[in-house]
Amino acid sequence: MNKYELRAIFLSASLMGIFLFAILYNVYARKIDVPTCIPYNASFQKAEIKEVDDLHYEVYIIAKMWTFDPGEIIIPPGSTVDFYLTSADVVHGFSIERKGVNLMAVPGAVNKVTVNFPDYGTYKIVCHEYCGVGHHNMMGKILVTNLTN
Amino acid sequence: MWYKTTLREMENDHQSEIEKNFKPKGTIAFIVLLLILAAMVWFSVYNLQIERH
Amino acid sequence: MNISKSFQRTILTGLFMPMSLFILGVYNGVMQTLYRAGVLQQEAVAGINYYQGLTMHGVINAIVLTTFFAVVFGHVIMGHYLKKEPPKWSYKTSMILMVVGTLIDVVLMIMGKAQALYTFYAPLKNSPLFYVGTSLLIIGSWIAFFGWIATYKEWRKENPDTKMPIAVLATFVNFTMWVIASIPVAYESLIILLPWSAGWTEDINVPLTRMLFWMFGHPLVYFWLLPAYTAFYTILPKVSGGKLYSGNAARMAFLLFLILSTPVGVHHQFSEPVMEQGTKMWVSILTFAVSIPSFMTAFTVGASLEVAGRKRGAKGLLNWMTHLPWFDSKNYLFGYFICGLLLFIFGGLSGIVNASYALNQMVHNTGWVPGHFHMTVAGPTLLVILGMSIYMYRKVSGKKIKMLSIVTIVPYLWLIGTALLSHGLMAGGLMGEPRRTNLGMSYTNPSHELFNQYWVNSTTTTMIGGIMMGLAALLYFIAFFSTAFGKSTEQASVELPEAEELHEEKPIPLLHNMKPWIFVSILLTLITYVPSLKNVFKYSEPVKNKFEAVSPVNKIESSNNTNQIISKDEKIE
Repeated sequence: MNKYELRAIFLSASLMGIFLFAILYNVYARKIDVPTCIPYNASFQKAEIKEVDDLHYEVYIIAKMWTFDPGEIIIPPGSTVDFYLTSADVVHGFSIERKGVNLMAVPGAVNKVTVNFPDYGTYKIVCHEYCGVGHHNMMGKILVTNLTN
Repeated sequence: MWYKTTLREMENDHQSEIEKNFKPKGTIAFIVLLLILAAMVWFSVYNLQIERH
Repeated sequence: MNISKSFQRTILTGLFMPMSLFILGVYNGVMQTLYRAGVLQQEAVAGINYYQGLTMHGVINAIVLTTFFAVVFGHVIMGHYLKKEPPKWSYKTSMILMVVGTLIDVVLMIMGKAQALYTFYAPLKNSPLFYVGTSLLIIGSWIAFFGWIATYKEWRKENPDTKMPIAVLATFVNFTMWVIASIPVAYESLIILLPWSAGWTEDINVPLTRMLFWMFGHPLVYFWLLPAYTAFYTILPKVSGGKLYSGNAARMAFLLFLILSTPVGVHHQFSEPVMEQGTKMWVSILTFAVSIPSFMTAFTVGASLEVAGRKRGAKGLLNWMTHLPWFDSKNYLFGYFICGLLLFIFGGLSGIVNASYALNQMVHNTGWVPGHFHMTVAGPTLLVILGMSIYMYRKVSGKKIKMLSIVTIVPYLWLIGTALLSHGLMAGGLMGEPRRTNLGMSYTNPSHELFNQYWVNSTTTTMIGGIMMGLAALLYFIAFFSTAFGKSTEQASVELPEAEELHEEKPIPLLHNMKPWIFVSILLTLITYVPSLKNVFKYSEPVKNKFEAVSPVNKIESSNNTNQIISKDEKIE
């Protein structure tokens, strides 16, 4: 292979190496990672918001045609939430706006992610995987506030 | 005419010279620009993720 | 090479039929941009609802048109380079299966019996016949390949010392990868989905079906891309007035695709449960590796064009790019190829973002994804399909091209339209705008509680781009069908412009033997997919779910209470 071609390959491969390093840095130093895998069982089909500790919550959230259950989650600012996401029927999406949370809700499986909510605000949860005719109306809400319902 | 044949031969020789001595310096420049663009796009999305996390 | 009436008819059918269906595919594409921008705020137009139209758009444009083209282009490559027709049994059977399978799918989609989108994710069900139709189309394409293998073996006997032409290698690599990749989706469709949809089985393991689909789904995109690369390596240097910079580099790039296309499928599943972090990291790394043959292609094709530019007198570092046959109707193919390459710069780069492990969370299922793939499959792949389809139709039918100036201008118009479309989609995507959603019903409807102002801006840009693309396609259709319905003035022939190599290169034996590459391909696939299969059985369970798009009621009556949701009143807060 001639030297110019090799130069081009070397430069491209180096850039890919830089990207890989940046990804790994995010995984280990910033804890930005793909979801955690947990073996599925039927108890994950029970929708629940559990306060585990001070400012630490576990939310068992079910996506179903065409809503999320629980549809509204109210937590104080500074909370950390472990979401356990599954579906009761077909595949749904689960995207929390402005938080970079992006998951799939798959029936027969459970997806886990931990999210921090330091600031006040309303975060909408959008379903971004086609799930039938009501798909474009499917939405959930996370309210980060000190007011209880 | 004889000079037209010679002109054609000179043109062909010129073309083969170009081909024989060709070095893809312009393409390397293009690849470097391409990789810079790739880095710009990629790191923009990367930074957006860090902001939102 | 002159050809038989039978071969001619097969090729012309394989060009005419998908191009006719493409009219329906384009219509549905343009319509989607209108729905999404909120210009249409309704479920359906003319009896076709948004999601039905989206299914037609995806299946026709991305499965039917692309598969037919790969087969027809393959036939012409074999005919031109090997100077033989494939055996009649292979090309006739292949075309019949492909046409029948396609017709089944098209009828079902129009009837609304198949609207689970082109990924047909369970437990949304399609009519059982849809899975049959799709399988017939795919298996038909295999049969064409088997015929070419027979033809090549004959040619080899008569030409023991000639190198396998690059275009032939590329086609064989492409179809070998295709056969390996379509086995999982054939299994998914015929063994799992068909009985389930027909009601013969009740349990379905959804993560298993997704793993199998994406095992196919990624090599599928290379199946679309490689014919375009074949044109860039073996035709573009000729039509631009240059020479192929390195035949060895071309061969190496194709063989690298053979080993690296299939084991990366899980990178479409980064945000899913079940696949472990280790598996996802592995496929991310492999996907970075498969970007290398594309960078090699950028270099080799770029250098081949630089030769052309310099031969035309360009002296500067970068101005060789302008010394090329832009807008030249005698060289209309150049326009199709170069516009495809320009789009692919952004298509490829956005793909690298998609492949980047957790970075994928920024873009998954947002508008960014169709933004990306309209600059790849609707970029170089489609433009090569359009350019080569009219070229091949003209040669194989013996009919002169009508409206040559329109044919010449189409790719440039398409380029601008697609750039706008994708820009809107990608900008919207980074703002969280979802794909596969009828936004006009809610998110871009000002009177709806879900209204999002920002997405109106991005979807409007996309709509303008989409309309331009529709116009470009309309112009192309006028020229293509005028040509097709014209009078034949020449003898039918199968031929292609053939690029010369710049230098005589020393043959590298490893690049002239497919067997070790096929072995590594299967090995790498197993390395990714045996652990992935283990993940499926470790983390997931089958469910008794079956749903139609129109109703949240489970079609399986015997479904037990594991899927029932405890009502809100019983929830602990």
